Amino acid sequence: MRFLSALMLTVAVAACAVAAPAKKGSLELKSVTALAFNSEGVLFIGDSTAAKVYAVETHEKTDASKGALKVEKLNEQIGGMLGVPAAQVAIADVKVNPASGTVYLAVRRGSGPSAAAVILTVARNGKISEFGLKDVMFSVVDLPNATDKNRAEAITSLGFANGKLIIAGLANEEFASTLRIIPFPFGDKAAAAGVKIFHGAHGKYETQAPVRTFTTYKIGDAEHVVAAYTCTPLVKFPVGELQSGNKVTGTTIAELGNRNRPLDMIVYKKDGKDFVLMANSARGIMKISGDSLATNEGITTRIADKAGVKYETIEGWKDVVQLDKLDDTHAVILIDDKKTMTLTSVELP
Amino acid sequence: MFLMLLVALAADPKAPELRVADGKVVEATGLPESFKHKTLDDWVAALRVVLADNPGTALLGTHSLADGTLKFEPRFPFAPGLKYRAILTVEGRETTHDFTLAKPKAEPGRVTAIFPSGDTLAENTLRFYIHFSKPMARGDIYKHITLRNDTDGKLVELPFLELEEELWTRDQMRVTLLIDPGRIKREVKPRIDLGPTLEEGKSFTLTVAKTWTDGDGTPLAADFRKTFKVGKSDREAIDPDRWTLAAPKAGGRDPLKIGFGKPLDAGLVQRLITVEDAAGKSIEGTITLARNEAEWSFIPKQAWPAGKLTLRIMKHLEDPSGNRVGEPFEVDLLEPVGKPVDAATSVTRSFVVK
Repeated sequence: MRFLSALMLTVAVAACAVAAPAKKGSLELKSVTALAFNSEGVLFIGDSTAAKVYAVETHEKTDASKGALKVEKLNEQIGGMLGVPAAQVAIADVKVNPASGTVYLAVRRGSGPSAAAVILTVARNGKISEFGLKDVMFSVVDLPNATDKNRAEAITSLGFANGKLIIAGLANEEFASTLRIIPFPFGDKAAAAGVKIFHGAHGKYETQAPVRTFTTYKIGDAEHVVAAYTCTPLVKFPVGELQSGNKVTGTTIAELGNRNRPLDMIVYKKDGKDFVLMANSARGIMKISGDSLATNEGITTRIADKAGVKYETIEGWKDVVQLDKLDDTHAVILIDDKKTMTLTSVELP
Repeated sequence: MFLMLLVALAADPKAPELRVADGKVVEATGLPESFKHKTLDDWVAALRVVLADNPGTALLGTHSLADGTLKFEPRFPFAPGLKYRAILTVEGRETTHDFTLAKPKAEPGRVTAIFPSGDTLAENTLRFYIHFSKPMARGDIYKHITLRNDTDGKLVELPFLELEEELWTRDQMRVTLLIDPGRIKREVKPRIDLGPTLEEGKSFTLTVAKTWTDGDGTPLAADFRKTFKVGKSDREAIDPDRWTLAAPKAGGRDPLKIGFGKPLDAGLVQRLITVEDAAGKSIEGTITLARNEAEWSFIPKQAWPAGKLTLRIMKHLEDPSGNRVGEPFEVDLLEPVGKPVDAATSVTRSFVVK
């Protein structure tokens, strides 16, 4: 057993070494709109204004953080630390470092064009600290053609699967948008290749539409992206099809309906079964069975409400705007009731 | 007796004092000799700077001690107009100093334009651009924007795609507003349940409220309203072969004028249509739009060369309804319209300058 542990450790270290970011230096973020981690604790930072994604080694130890978490008046506390009122604090993303269990926040201080971007960490005892970006090991990838004249591209969601970083963005000019994908570690002249993503509506119309939020999920042996579009269908497509220049058409597996904004998604396992949890402006939290994602062949005819995969709405989770998996049995959620923000751990339903 | 005490206090060289140097660094002076031997943790405990109305949380920053002066530099500059408090605790005695950096009086901003600029818009209009005279605040824009159906006088419920990642230019002087595409696309649930946001034959008013503040917190000078009629949906792909093109004369700087036959996207036409010389090199010049973005003029920096020139149009050029070159916003798989999509990223039209 001891031998086995040692062996596993060696493998983990080797994997870390392969994925080691390229150079040591200091980062100046212009903005931070999305975060992601790979399993070795590399933090990906989406900087929309700079049109770059950074990969930063966190060097956090396994299981540094355990137990429940609850931080009330989070925006007031952060405002106090950054020297601005709570209303000037925006949290664009909440992600848990799977290598340590520490919660990371993507924070904007201020609302003008010179607003600062900060990454904060929250320990299980509620202590909030800045994740310093001085003298860190990092690498960077540019989003090609993201800026030209007045064009800007908002990075709406980042994900990592099959050794690749997946970047969902939405431009402020053209609607037709691309999902970008890049293998990690980034190469010397790294650039994220674009894939055109379409989705159909009942097999009749299709649109090259932007992805709002997504997660990755293994169906059989194939890693899939499960994505929610801006116009609400929930779709799936295999990660393997995300090749540069490809046109990929997602299979519509659910219609989320009106008054609805998909906000964030995670995948988890409970009692041997897979589930997808989606935070959503109109319906609270939706819990979708992974079995139905795998077997659903897509919606091709018009169906009444709750078309496609079956889901249940989790009662009691209100105003959830961000969620991530904290450990095997818990999620961390950010609740924003427009007055105050609360960051708390909850048991996975 | 009281007077004597005051004199005694003023004369005490050990009385600590707090000040803000250049509005940037809080400095504590008059510290006792024993302070020299203290550690960073002691300095952090001794000097805290807080927002006066949030005294429980200390600002992030850096402490340093040099020449008997304890300094605190905040992680982010002190913001003008906010009341901060420096609290120094030495040997059980607390000294406080409240300070506020002056906020320069700012001219209120205003809306300078909304595109599409026409007064009749397609029912399936997807996108508006709102231009401002100065950089604006991001983060909560949707509460300042309303769309009213003037025919029945009611506000349209959830007309826009409300994104956390608001679609600003980098200078935050233009924001993009998308009509909820779920209410434009046919056969998706929001439209089936609620109908389209804009309805043909009716009149609507888009209002930008003056409650919207600029990047420094100053509200707009006034509300801005754009009233428009709604015409039929535009589901046609952009077809550059049908554009009118008036070639200018060689040797002069007359504009090259192109008529699109319908308005195109005010942002995209500024960068996705270019003019190339015979060698394929892009010609520098200035673009102006007219007739509600249905006409594009290009005045070259240098006089027009004689010969065959090329107009290059990127295929991701869109009209305000999201239709692209050769491909409508929604492709009807059963009844395809527009030209077959090929792998090229641009199309060209050539013209001769004599």
